[in-house]
Amino acid sequence: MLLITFWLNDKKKTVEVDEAGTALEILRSLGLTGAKEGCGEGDCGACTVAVGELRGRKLRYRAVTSCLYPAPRLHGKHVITVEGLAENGKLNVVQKSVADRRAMHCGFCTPGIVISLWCLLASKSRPTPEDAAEALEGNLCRCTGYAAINRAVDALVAAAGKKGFSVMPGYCALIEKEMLAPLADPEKTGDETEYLRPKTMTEALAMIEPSKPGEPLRPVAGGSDVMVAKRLGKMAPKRLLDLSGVDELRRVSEDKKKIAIGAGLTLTEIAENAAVRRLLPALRGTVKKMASAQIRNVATLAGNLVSASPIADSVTTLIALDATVVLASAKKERRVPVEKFITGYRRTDLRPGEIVISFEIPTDWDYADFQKTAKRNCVDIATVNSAGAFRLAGSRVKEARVAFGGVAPTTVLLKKTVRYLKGRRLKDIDPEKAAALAPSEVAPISDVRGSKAYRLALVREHMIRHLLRLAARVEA
Amino acid sequence: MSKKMAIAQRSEAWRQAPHPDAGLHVTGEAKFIADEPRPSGLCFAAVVPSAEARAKIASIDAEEALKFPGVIAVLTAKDIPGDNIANQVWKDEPVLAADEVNYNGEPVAVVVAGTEAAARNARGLVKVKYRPLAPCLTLEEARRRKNFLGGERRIARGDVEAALAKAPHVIEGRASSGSQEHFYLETQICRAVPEEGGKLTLFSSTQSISEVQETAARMLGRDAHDVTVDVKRLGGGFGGKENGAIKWACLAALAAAKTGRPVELRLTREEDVSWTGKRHPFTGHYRVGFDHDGRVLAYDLNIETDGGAYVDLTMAILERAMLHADNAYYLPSARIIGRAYKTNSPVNTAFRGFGAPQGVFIIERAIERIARTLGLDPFAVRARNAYREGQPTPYGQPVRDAHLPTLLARLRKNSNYDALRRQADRFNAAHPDHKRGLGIVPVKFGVSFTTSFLNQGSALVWVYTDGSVSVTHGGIEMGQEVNTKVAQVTAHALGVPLSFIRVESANTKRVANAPSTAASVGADLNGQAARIAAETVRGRLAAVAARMLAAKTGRRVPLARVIFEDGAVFDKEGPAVRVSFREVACRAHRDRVDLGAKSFYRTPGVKYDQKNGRGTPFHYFVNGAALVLTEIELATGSSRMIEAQIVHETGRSLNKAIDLGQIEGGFLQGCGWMTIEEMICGRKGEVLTSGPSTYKIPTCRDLPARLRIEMVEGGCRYASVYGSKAVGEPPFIYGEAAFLAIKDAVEAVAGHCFEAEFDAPATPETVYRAIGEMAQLGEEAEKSRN
Repeated sequence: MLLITFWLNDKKKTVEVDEAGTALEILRSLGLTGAKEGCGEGDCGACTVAVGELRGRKLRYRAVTSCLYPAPRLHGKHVITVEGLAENGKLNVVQKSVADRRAMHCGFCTPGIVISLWCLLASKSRPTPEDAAEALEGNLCRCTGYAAINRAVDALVAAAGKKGFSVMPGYCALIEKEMLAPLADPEKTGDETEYLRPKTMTEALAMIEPSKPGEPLRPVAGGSDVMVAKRLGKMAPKRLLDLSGVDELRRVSEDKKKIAIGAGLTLTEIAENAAVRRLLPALRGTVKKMASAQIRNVATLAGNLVSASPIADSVTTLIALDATVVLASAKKERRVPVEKFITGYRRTDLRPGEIVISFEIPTDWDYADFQKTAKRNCVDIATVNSAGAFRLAGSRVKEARVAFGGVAPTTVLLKKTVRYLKGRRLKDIDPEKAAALAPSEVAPISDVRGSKAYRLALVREHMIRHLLRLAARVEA
Repeated sequence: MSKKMAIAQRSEAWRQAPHPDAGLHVTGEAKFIADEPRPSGLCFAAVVPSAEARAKIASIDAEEALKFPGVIAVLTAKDIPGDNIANQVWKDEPVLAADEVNYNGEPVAVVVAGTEAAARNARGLVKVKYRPLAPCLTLEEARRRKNFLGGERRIARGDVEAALAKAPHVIEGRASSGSQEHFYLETQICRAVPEEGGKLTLFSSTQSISEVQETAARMLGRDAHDVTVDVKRLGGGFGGKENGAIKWACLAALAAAKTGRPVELRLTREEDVSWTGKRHPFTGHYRVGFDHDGRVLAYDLNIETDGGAYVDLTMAILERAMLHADNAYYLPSARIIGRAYKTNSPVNTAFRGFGAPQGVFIIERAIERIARTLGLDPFAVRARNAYREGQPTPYGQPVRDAHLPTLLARLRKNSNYDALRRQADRFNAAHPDHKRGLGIVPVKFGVSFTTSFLNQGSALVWVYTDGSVSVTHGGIEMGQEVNTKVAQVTAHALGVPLSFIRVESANTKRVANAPSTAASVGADLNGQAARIAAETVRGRLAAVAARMLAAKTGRRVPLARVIFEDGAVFDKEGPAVRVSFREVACRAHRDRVDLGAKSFYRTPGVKYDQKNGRGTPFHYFVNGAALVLTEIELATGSSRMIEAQIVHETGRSLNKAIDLGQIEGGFLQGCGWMTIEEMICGRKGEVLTSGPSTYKIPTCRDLPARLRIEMVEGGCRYASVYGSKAVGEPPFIYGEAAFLAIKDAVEAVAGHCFEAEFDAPATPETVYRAIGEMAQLGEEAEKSRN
């Protein structure tokens, strides 16, 4: 057990938590039952709460699914739940808009929706309707059909940025100041240390040294994957190494030909990063199509890579972009191309004592794009995903990298198809011909997300579209 | 504003009311069962599910599990003191499997422990030995094995064979629709709290307090009065907590009775999706005869459904599917034969529409085929066949207030259908990668339980001496706001502001023998009952008030002139002199006048002979029509709705905001069923799509950008409380327009020369395959022309 301190709505709290527990369990045990378990896998949004942490000297709030948020990670954070928005008996403007427009039937999803909307308005002064859809796509409602929710959203979006419009409860400013004072580490109240929270890379690497006694530490970045696996009993790591507090892992740097993205940045932060937006729109597009806002707010590229799912969206794009993963242990640092790092179905080349520290991604592509086909238009795992990256020499394809996910035990980097493309003039490339080659390089299976035949067809269709889009871009 | 208009508006103002719990929901104060403070000593129960789809149980060994820290008890069928029966009508389904299991996930034992984690972790230690038998997992297999559930059902009118023989055109076809998970956001839960003398109170997430009470009491070998069931609100139900809640409530009750401790049993999402029943998949084979104008002359239909492992509500659902096999269309002769089959799957159960959407889906496909065969516009064919006043249904009930032709005309006008059609054609000609399509579906939905005796409701109204009012009724609040409507009706009948009314939790002690809150009639039955009770009290108060007013004015006030309005009581002919409702209530109490009333309502005129398929099953019909414009992407089969238009008849709506919400919510839920919601099972009958990561319900992005809903009053000669009509289920069927729109878009691939053949749901994969087939048909036709 750990004794952690955090701010919960307007109060500072010190509570004992189970290292393996979730934020949702803690909040509900404290009597705040507004956040609810609707699915336990971060996919319905009923447990959404706002987590605030200092970024520089400013408190920044993000919506997270508390069912997947490790309880120990609450230490030093400010959590706002639906119970904390109204002040002095007066509803927050978000609550009022939702209530006034009857944006609820049974009300079970309402606390999550209120918080997701609140986070949107707390972080963006003038959100667009697209921002609102992004903020709410991770909140399922089975009753309303979302129409009334959209009416509440429209009213808020219209009012946002106008004079006197504020969603921020008064206590936030006070807590922001309090948070500047350093906080001691959580106190251990049991013998077994199961949850480590390093603050520096040196610390982290020392902790994970394989020669240390006991069960090996499992590194956790966002935790969105590990927490689900734990809950389903698919994984039972006794000892977790929470890397979310290591600021060195959150850096982005660029040079002429590449960008280096810290392994600790969340998908949301990557999508918001100016350099990524400028240099790697394909990566930004990929990240925005992953999961929901709540998950993007905690999940990282490193987590997506290390879980080594053959359908991980970002892995497909990283491979196409010829990204290199930078790994570090206490002894050394090494660099491995992403496609080599994944060695099999859910297997990687991550060695004991190593953590992922960053990704180096070439930016000198003339064109790159990402495609994803899934059953639902958003917040779904792909049936097939693909990414293509191209370098041109005049009107010829100098280099092409095309990767497909969901079509084999690991992400596939096409070879034959690419050989056909290489050196060819764009106008001589027959997309149909390339598309006919691609399926021979993959080996999909049938599962709940699609049949083998459909996946093979999607490989063809995606391939054609990569080439058509490339041609269209060059023409433009 | 004229005085008359002002009065008319004021007199209708009561039909508006905010969501009474909105403030509680947006602040997190509203409590669902799991949110209530935990009683001291609360234990948790976890269910041990069958790992086999069909097997004999050889042995159950709980020894190891009982040693697990925190475990208090492991209960099996042997521990049930009374009847091990979960379904009081058919009595075929056990609460806990005793000798055999009939579906993967069927409860075999229940582990009770001090914490939720201990109960869940210990259940893996309960060793169940099975002797597996060959399971039957599909409808096709069940048909082959002749695994019938219940008997064959039949509705017939006229001589179908003769009419088909004479018809200028006869076509045949088949249509199938799939399963659907309810996905109420609050999973099944029951908290059972023991009381002195072995009595129990069950806080159950059920749509049916009385069935839970009766079944739990019988299982425990107790009387009904020993078990109280109390329900404040549900986090969604949609039919899934009608019969679906009984088993979990019984298991919690058993655990509490055996351990003497309060016990909570809550299903996780995976458990809920894996173990509980779904919407019934249906397949229909039809022959339809029609004339050169597309008028249907004869409809011959065989429908089949997969009921799952036990009967549950399957026979009633099959009947409703058959009673809606005509949907909106007059069938001069019809023969509708229905069969249900038993498979080793979780028990399919009630789900919004209760079979009606499935029945409708088949004839809508037939109508499309008629239009295609004759080269007519499907909208026109629908309008041509829509019921006219007084035309009889296949089961013999004449259609009154037959608004469909008018509603279809309104939809055509509102949506600017002809322009939309031209725009879609232009779009399709210009876009080789995307196609757009239009789908239209009218709806005529019969309102009432088709099991006629269920059409009854009770309410209990108490006026306190300060004038505030407590109402209990048999309906369950699950987001449809039946409580708001009942409060409005009560307030209106008593002439008091809404703030005077408190609607209590549904509780078997206050209102007994209540039917489930289902069949869209929650507000009808309970609203009528509340109205009657409130009017009874008002009648008594009128006499008191008349005396008080007479004392004030010195004039006698006849009872008929006493008006109750806005919390005041006055003489119609001297409205200046008033007494407050509060004063009247207080005086009545001092005068020893009864301030409470229990009422009873039964729907008049409903009588259905299930055996012969004839009668008047429905009190009235709800009508409407929807149009969807959708766009498909040929490369992937993905689709997205662009626009939806709905015209829906509400009668004199008790609350337009609530009804609008029901139309919007029902529509999108129907769209989900028709497009992306797909249930997939493995070889052992285990559900593979057991959570939101694999079972996809619509998100906020799935609503069309343009959604226009017109609510029309329509007729209220045939309606319910204060001229209102039921609204819960009919709009679900509008979702079928989304399927038909996709189908139309697929047909655009070959210039609308052929009809696309695919089943619901129209998932991207299904649509992609249909696009491929359509393209091939187009190419072949092209070749044969050259």
